[in-house]
This record gives sequence, C-alpha cells and structure tokens, in this order.
Amino acid sequence: MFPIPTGSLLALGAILFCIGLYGALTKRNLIIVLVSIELMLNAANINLVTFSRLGVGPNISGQVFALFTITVAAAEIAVGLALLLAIFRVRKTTEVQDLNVHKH
Amino acid sequence: MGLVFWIVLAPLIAAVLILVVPGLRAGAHRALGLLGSAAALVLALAAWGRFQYATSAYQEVSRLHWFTLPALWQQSDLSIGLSFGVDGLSLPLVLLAAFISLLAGVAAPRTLQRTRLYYFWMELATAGILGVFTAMDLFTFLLALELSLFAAFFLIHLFGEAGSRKAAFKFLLYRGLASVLFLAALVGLAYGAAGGFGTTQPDTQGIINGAGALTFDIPTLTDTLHKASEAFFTPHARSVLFLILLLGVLVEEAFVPFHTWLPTTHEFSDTTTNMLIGGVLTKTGAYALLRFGVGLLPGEVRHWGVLIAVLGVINILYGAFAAWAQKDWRRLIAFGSISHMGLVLLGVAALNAAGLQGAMFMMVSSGLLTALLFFLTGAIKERTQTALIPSLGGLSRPMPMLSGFLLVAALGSLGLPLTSGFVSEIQAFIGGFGTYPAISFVGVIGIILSAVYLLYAMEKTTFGPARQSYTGLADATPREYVPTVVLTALVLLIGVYPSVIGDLFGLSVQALLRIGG
Amino acid sequence: MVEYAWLVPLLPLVAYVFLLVLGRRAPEGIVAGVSVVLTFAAFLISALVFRSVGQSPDQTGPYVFHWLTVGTHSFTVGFEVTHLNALMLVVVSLVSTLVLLFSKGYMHGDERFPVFYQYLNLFVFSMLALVISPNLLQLYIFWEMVGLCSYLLVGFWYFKPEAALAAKKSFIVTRIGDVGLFTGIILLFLASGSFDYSTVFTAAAAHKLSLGWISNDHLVTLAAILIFVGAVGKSAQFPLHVWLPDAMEGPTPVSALIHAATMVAAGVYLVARCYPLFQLSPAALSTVAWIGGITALLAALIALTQRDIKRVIAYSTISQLGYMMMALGVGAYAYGVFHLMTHAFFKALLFLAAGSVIHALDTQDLFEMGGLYKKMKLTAWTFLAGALALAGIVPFAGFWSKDDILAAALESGHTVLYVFGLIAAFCTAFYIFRVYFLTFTGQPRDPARHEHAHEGSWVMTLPLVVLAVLATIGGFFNTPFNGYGLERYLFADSPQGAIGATTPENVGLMVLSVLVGLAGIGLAALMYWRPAIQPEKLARSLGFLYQLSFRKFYLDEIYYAIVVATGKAIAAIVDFVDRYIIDGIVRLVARIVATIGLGLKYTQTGQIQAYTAVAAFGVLILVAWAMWSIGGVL
Repeated sequence: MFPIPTGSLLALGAILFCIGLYGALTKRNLIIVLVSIELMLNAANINLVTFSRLGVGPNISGQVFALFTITVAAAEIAVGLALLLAIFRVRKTTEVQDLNVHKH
Repeated sequence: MGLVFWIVLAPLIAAVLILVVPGLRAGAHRALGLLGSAAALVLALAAWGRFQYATSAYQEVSRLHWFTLPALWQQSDLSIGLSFGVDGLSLPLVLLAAFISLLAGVAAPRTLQRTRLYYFWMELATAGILGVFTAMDLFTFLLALELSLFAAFFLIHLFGEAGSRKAAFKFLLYRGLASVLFLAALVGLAYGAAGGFGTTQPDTQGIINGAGALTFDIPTLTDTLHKASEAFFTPHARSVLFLILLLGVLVEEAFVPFHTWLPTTHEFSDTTTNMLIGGVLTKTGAYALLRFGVGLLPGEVRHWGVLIAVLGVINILYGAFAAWAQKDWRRLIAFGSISHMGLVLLGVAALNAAGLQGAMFMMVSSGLLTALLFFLTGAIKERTQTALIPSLGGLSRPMPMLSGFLLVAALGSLGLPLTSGFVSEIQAFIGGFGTYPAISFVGVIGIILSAVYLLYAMEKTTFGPARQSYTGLADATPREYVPTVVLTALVLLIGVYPSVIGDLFGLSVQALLRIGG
Repeated sequence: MVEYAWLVPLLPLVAYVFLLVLGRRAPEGIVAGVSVVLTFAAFLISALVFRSVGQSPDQTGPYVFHWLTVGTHSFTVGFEVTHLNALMLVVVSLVSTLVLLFSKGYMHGDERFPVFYQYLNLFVFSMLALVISPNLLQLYIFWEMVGLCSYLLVGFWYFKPEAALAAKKSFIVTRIGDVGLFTGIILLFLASGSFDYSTVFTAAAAHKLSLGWISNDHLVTLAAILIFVGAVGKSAQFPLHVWLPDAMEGPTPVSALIHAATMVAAGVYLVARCYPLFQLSPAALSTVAWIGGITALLAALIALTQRDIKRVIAYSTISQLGYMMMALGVGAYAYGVFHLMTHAFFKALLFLAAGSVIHALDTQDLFEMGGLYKKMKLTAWTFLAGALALAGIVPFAGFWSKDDILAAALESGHTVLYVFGLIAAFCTAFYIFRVYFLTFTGQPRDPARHEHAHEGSWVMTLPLVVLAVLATIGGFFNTPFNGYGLERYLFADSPQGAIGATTPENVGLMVLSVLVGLAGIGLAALMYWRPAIQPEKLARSLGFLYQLSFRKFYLDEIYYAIVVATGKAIAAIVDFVDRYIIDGIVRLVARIVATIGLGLKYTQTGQIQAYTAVAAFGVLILVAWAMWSIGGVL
C-alpha cells in the first residue's frame, strides 16, 4: 500500500485547524462557532493518528487517544448546545456579538 | 502539641466558632471572642511561667508537617508546614499581643453592630499576630503575616469611620508590599543558606556542601548563617537581600518615608482596631528586623549600620515634629509611635546589648502606650464626639480619672522615668551612644520634642477652663477601667522593675550578639 | 542608723499611697495629719542619720539591689548616705514638714485638697529618693520625677490657662536641661561601665575615662558640662531660667517647697555631688562659675521692678541659686552647700509669708497691698527676718553664707564675679525691702481687700515662726564661733583641693557686704517707706533700663521668636511635606496606576472572539519563539 506522506497528513491537519480557527473567530452564530471548534478538535485528531505512526515504537495508542477525543468532543458539544439553549431562552439570541455583558 | 501551638490556635478556634455556630446573639459573639483572646493570654502566661531562662533556644516547640516539595534544589527536599515556638525575643511580644487583643475586645463598645464579623476578624487578626511572633519557620511567618494583614484590612474597612475604605486599601497595599519584600528576602536567604548563591572562597566549600539542604526552619537557618554567613553569599547578594529585607521593614513598620499609611489608618479606624494596629501590628516589622536582620545577616546590619542609625534618627525627629503639628489626637499618636520606633532602629543599628535590649523594650513599651493612648482618646471621643485637639479643653473637670490616665499615658510616652518608656529610651540611647555617638547626639533632641508635642496636646485637652458643652459628661465607666488600669499597671510595672521582661530578653540578645560577632 | 536611711523617702511614699487609696473625697484633717506626721517622722530619722554619719563615717553604703541586667552590666538601685546628702535629707524633710503643715491652712476649702497632698507627698518622696541615690541613673529617675511633681503642682489649678501654660513651660524648659544630664550620664556609663558615683569618680581621677572618639580629659569636661546643663535647667540658671517665674502660677506652698527650697536646689546638689568630676576640669568649673555669676546678677536686676510679690521672690531665688553655682564654680564647695541650706530656710520663709499675705488679701500685686503690719504682725516680723537674711545683714543666716561666697570668689581671683555678686547683693537688699515696705508699711492701697485681711490659724503661723528662727540663727552652723562645723562635716566627703576651712575671715569684706546690703535697704526705704524719691520719676528717667528690667531683658520674647517659632515652623513644614509631598507622591503613584487601568479597560470589549483572537495570536508568537530558539525552521 502506498503510504500517504506524513507531511500531507500534517498539512491537512493544519488546514483543518486554520479553517476551524477562522470560523470560531469570525462567525456570528454560536452554532457555527461550536461547529468550527469541532473542526479544530478533529484537526488535532488527525495529528494524533499521524504521529502514532512515527517514533521509536509505533503503536496504536495515538488512535486510541483520538477515539477518546471524539468521545470527549461529543460530550462537550452536548454541554455546549445545552448552554446555547439556555442562553437563547434568556437572551433571545444566539449572536456572539450580543453576548457582551463583560464589557468594561 | 506544644503549648505555643495552642496559643495561636485558641483565637483561631474562637474565630471559626463565631462564624459557623448559627443563631448566636451579639453577647455570645463577644463572649466567644473574649474567650479566645483570654485563652491565648492564659496560655501565654503559662508559657511565661514555664519559661527556661537558661537557654536562648526556642521552647515549647510544636511542628506540623504539611507537605514536602521533593528535590527542589540539588536533590534537597523542602519541607513545608507550620512550626511554632517561643524564645526570649518573642515571648514578651506574644504576651503583649495577647494582652492587647483581650483588652481591645473588652474595650469594644456595647453598641457595636455586626458583632459576628467584628469578633471573627478580630480573633483572626489576633491569631495572625500571635503566629507571626511564634513562627519558627519562614512559611509560618509569612502565612501568619498575611492572615493578620487581611484580617486587619477588614477591621479597618468594615468598622472604621466614613472614609475608612481608602484608608483600608492604603493599609492593604503598603503592608502587602512589605509582605512581598519579606517573601523575596526570606526565600532568597533560605536559598542562599542552601548554597544557592555560591561563593568564591575555596576553604568554605566543605561547609557549603554539608549545609546544602534547603530549609525554611529559622533556628537551622540562624545556625547555618551563624557558622559562616560570608561563605554563602557574595557580598553583592548579601547586600541586596539585606536591603530588600530592610525596605520591607521600613514599609511594614511605617518608617519615613513609607509611613503615610499609618496616620491615615489610625485616623479612620475605630478605637479597638487602633489599639490592635498601634499596639501590636506595628511591631511586626521591627521584630522581623531583629529576627531576620540581626539574626541572619548581622554582618550586613553592621555594614549598613550608619544608614539604619540615620534613618532611626530621622524617624525620631520627623515623627516628633510631625506630631507637633497634628490637630487630631489619633494622628498625633500615630506620629508619636513612628518617633518611638525610630529609636528601635537606632538601638538595632548600635548592635550591642543595650541597643538591642532597648529596641525590644521599646517595642513592648510603645505597644502598651500606644494602645492606652488610643483607648483613652477613643473614650474621650465617644463623649465629646471629637478627637480634634483644638475642640477639646478643660476635660479634667468633667472626667478627672480619664484625664489623669491620659496624662500618665502621655508621660510614659515622653519617656518619664518609672514608666516603660524611660527604660526603653535609656537603653536604646546607651546603645546608640556606644556605637554612633554623633548620630545619637542629634537623636536626643527627640526627647525634648516628645515632651513638647505631648504636653502641648495635654494642655489643650485636659487643662484650661471647662467648656460649657462638656460639663455634664461622665467619667470612666467600669468597662473602661479594665483596659485602662491593666495597661497603666503594665506600663508602670515595667518602668519600676524592668527585669520583669528584661530577664526574658537577656540571653536571646546575647545569642543575637554572638552571631553578630 | 545609716542602714535605715531608706525609711526617709519611704515614709512620704507610704503617705502618698495611703492618700491615693483614700481617694479624692478624704477629709482634710486626716489627709494633712497623715502627711505631716509621716514627713515629720522622716525628718527625725534624717536627723538621726545626719548625726550618725558624722560619728561613724565609714558605714555610708552604698546599699544596692539589682534592677536590670543589660548585657554584662547590672543596673542597681538603692541608697547611700554621705555627709552631703545627709545634710540635704535634713533640710528637705524639715522644710517639707513645715510646708505640708502650712498647706493645711492655705489650701483649706480647695475641692482638690487631697490631690494636692498626694502630689506634695509624691514630690517629697521623689526629692528624698533623689538625694539618697547611690548612682547617676537613680538620680536621673527621681530628677525627672520631681520635675513631674513640679509640673503637676504648677498646673494644680488646671482650669487657669496661665497655670496650664506655665506647667507645660516649666516641664519643657527643664527637659532641655535634662537631656544634657541624660547624655552626660550615658557617656559616663559608657566610659566607666557603671553609673555609680564612686566608680565614675575613681575612673575619672585615674584618667581612665575615655571612649573611642574622645580622650579622658575632653570626656570629663564634656560630661561635666552636660551634667551642668541639667543643673542649669533644674536650678533655673541663665539661659534656662525663664520657667521659674512662670511657675509661680502654682499654689504658694508649692513655690516655697519646690521652687525655692528643694527642687530648684537639686541642680546645685547635683553639681556638688559630682564635684570630684568638676574638679578635674577647670573649663567646666569656670563655666559653672560664670553662669552662676551672670544668673545672680541678671535675676537680681529683673527682680528690682516686678510688680508681682511672688515673681520678685522667684527672681530672687534664681539669683541666689546663681550665688550657689558661683560658689561651686570658684571652688568653694562647702559655701555653695552652706548657702543652699540657709537659702532653703529663709526663702521658704519668704514664700510662706508671702503666701500668708496672698491668702489674706487674695492678690499678688504689690501695688494692691500696703499697711498690713497692723493686721498681720506675726507675718510682718517673720518676713522681716527672712528679708534681713536674704539681704545679708549680720547676724542673719544669709549673711554668713553669702559673705563666704563673695570672699571665696575674690580669693580665687574671680574679681569680675565678685563685683557681679556685690552688685547683685545691693539689688537683693533693695528689692526685698521694696517688697517689705510695699506690703507691710504705709497705707492700704486697696481698702476693700485690706478690710478682710487677718492672720492665718496656727498651722500657718507655726511654720513661719520655725523658719524665722532658722533664718535668724541658721548661719551659725558654719561660723568661726563653732569652728566651721558644717565645713568640717562636709569635707569628710571630698577633702581634696576645694577652698574651705582654711579661709580666714576677711573682716573688711564682711563690713563691705553689710554696708552694700544696708545701702540697698536704705534706698528702698527712701523710695517706698518714707518717700523721698518718687519711684515713678526714677523709672521714667531710667527709661530703657527700667523697661529692660521690667520686661525681663526680653528673654521670653527672644526665646519665643527664636526657639518656639522655629520649632513650630519646622513642625508646620514637616506636616506640609508629609501631607502634600510624601503622601502626594503616594497619591500620584496611585493616580497613575488608576489612570493606566482606566485606559486599559477599553481593551475589555466583552467580545469572546476578540479575546480568542488575541490568545491565538499569542500562541502563534510563543510557537514562533520556541521554534526560533530551538534553531529550526525560522
């Protein structure tokens, strides 16, 4: 099997992370922001899997770790959506710009 | 656990009980608070009774291990925990703190609101101060110092007069700064004593390798630095550490020019807090100077002696002149206290038996007298609604007893013989003249000035024709007699027979001097 | 007997404590009775001690016990009896007893009568303890205590603003002197390792008093002068004499006891006690002599024109203390002490007699008195005895002691001081007889006051009579007729080198000084008794000189302008610096920090995405820095 070069995999991870970061920093809707955060997490997963192949003793612990991350991400998005609902009930909005009670 | 541990714990237990036991009335808060302070006093007196005069080592030691930081420096573990003990230097101050805490508690007016908070913070402050004086390691010392700092902050903030918020923050910032400086200097010293600063002297390498354990234990540190204080530090590092420590002392002790928090604090605090702050809280810096300055870096005290002595004389004169110009009794007392503590600096700088012992006496004496003065002027203010000297006058007629005690306190403060003030003054000056005659010649002017400002204030307060508005005012009540009489009796006792506490100091001062070489 | 000398100060202390326990409402009879009886007992013991010291001079002590350990030194307190202080004990306890008795009448009806006696007893205790001290430290302790009692008693009528001011002034001015004494004894302690008189004097005599920065000779001079500064303050010598006239605001018995007979003489006693030290330093001795001489003359000149009866006598006290200092300074140790003793008698008498007058008339202004002889014969006669003693007329007490001093001054070569003394003697005779004539002779100037005047009860007259007897015959303790008994007694202490028993009486000088005294009396008589000279005219013709005397050489004003105003100015400057510069800088720092905070708060937009962007940027920088420092990609 022709192995995909490590550089490409890392590049994919980096691109994915940057897209996620861009989304998290610029999107106005909180749902999109949460989705973008998921993207960043998955970029990390790709890196975990990639690096599990390298090193002195390659093994599958990186892939196992990625599975953990996916689980945690699922739990996190559940909490995130619950918070989102709660915020929407109180403030009638999901726009990030309107949530500025901490302004000076 | 040793006796001293319980001295610190008693007010702490009282504080916790006051806070957590629900449904208590004001009277119960007061009773619990007084009980905590009284227990501390009884235990301190017991420690005095059991005191071994034949040794300068710490007694009644108790150590509580908390955790260990492993291999922190050159494979040496650092043990962190609480350890308490008393020696001749600390026991008189412990007694002073316990006495003043109890008397301040008694002095608190019955009409006080929010008694739960009040006695909670007061007991906490008491525990902190007692902890500072009994601490046997640097961690305990710094922890207790912080405890006393924020407890006093809340006392000033919550129970002071209008405007006390600013005063409280000023207090917090200054004393907080002092704590930071202490932290830096003391950790630096511990690090150095473990060989952290290295040395260029080959013949002392053995000692360094042997003593390379990192410890916060004060007796061990004293012992280590005693053996070869020069071996552990380059001259530069020594000086820097000492100057940081000295700066901390200057801020902590309200020495010119870092003193402005003290008059402000006293001006806006209530009587009880003033007694606590003026009586004991302003003695921690001088204690640190003796314990760590003279105890750990005696060579530096000698090296910077002229600076310390000059600072001392500046404080004596500046405090006295400033006190002369004050209109408010409380600011006057604050500046008087600054002037007193200047004499402590002179005594320490002298670095001889008379000087150090005079400094110790002065700390105790100034504590008693300052507390007494604050109490009496507070009692007068309760009646006349003012502490402004020009608004008072002729108080001898409506309140002869209060006026009489105020006069005794003022006379003690100006160093009249047969009061504690004189015993302190003469020893400190014997020390000062022994080492720095020229500087001390300037300093003795302070003796005249203290008479000037105190008698000026007395003349305007108790002498003169009685004012119409003050004619019906009552004299001291039984509740007020307790602190007044006890404090006055202590002032006179020390003045008439100073060996009462002088014998406690004796060996410890000798031990400090041996270190000083 | 000497080992029981501690009872002498103890008895008044017992009286003090007893009165303190009795409180402020105690009946006058008990208060005065207890005080007088106990002090009289102290006097009897003193007399026995005095006798036994003379008989067996080797049992004098010191008897000490430990007070405080400082380093390797032990401070002690206790007592010691020498010939000098045995004499002082007798004088002090005797005058005290009489004044305590007199006060029973004088203070009758005062609402703080018991407090007055408390203070007086405390004073008597302190004064006796001062005298009996075996070392300089204890002396200093009680030196300050008598000062305290003086403060309390001058300010006894605290509601009078003048009394309050005078009390403060007396304490502060004497404290200036005390600082000198304080410094002096500290230096002596440092140099000799002890406060004990004997140790210090032995070391000084052996030239072993030296510190790192000063040699033996200089230290002896410096310490002696510093001790003398203390004496100058307490004994109201020029230039620190200004407190004593003001101290007359106190009740008159206080003036008699404290400000004439005992406390103000403590300075003279101190110099006498430290005489071995002074003798080693010619410079110090000559300072003492000159200050004494100047004071004697200056105060006598001021006394000429004062209107207040007590102030005249107060200036007279200053002047007489100046004589004593001059005596010590020119080397006439015994004469100084002799004059101290006779002066204690006749000056206490004059004050008590003046008190009797003031009690009767309720005024102190000489020009509201007059013609009292008819109503108060006893007071007039006793006052006359005191006045003759003060003026130095044969054979009254003052004659013997003052004449000895003048002769000693001349003999020791201090001609100028002798002239000073002689002029002062003329003034003395004049001013005291001016008082006598204005008070007791002529017509009453204030008939309303005069009408109610009457002699006091026996408690007031008995002390006058006793003191009048002493003022008349007190001089015979030291005359050729008893072989100079007092001198021989005193010289058992310090025989070396002082002028004394060897001096032959110079009859010529005696006659001269009596003539000067008589001239003064004569002038006073011409001006105020059988008016041949108009005092007002004389005053006008003297103009400025009269004003100089009447205004006390403007010294109060000068001191106020120089010392007090400067001190207040410094205090005001310090206060200003404190409030606006030091605290100003503190507030400025706080303001700057607050301003920075105010500016930075606008970075807190509340936008979570903005915060995240900053954080991401920060991470980027950190990563870049890490890579660069590893030395890789960048």
